[in-house]
Amino acid sequence: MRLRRLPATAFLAFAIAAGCQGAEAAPAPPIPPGAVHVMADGMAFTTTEVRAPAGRPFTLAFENREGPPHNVHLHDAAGTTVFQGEVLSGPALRLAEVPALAPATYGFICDVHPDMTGHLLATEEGS
Amino acid sequence: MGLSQVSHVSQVSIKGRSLPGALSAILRLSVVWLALATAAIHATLGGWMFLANAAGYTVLAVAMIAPIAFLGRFRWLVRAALIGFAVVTIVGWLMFGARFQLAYVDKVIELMLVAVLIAELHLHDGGPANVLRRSIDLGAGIGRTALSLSGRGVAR
Repeated sequence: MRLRRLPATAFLAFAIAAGCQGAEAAPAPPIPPGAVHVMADGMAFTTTEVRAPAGRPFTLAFENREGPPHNVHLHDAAGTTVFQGEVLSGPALRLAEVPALAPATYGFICDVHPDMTGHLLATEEGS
Repeated sequence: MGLSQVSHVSQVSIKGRSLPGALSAILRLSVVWLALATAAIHATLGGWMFLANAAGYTVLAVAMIAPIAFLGRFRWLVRAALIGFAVVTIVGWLMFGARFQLAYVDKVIELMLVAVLIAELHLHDGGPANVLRRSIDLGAGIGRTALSLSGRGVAR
């Protein structure tokens, strides 16, 4: 009797998971010109080397092209967080304002999957 | 409440089951449901670690209800393993995990799972001290068997 309820139980569990992901979905905004575009797909950042303007805030367009949730967590060479984007279940695109950065190379990771990494080069010339 | 009233309450039945029997079924169903729910959530996160976690929860959930005599004898161990698995998952998240909506939902489910398992542990296994004693006995038994087998190997 209990075993017969298993398919329904499994279905409910998947419905919860899908419902929670669906709640985070939002219509994709257009990417403004000059935005730094970072993409995630296949459990990796597909843009692992990006350039950004130093000394002034800029827009980061993070595009998650797959179902599993990802984010962009930007840190300096010492490991100090300079920007932490929200975790986004995909497929979805989210724009975020990153505060002005000093000219340097910064690393970025996904907090959910820390083996996903990339680099952002902040230069005076910009992106 | 007097002893006679307690006795009366214990004989209350739900659809033909005694109250402890019905409670036991509800708890077991809750354990399986919660374990499969957190397995489903982990499966959506991608990456081998989350998939391994989902597989672990699924295997333990099935082991909680599989009508296999051997598993029935060691249900107390499966229950203890599931508590340990959930606690390690929660602590791992507290130490290294990302903070986002689905993660918080999952942690609530896992905490509920641990609470229900502890209730089951009291109902079926006589509490954590008894489970610890049985685990030590089991470990000692396995140790004795291993020593006996290695002794035979040396004798040959």
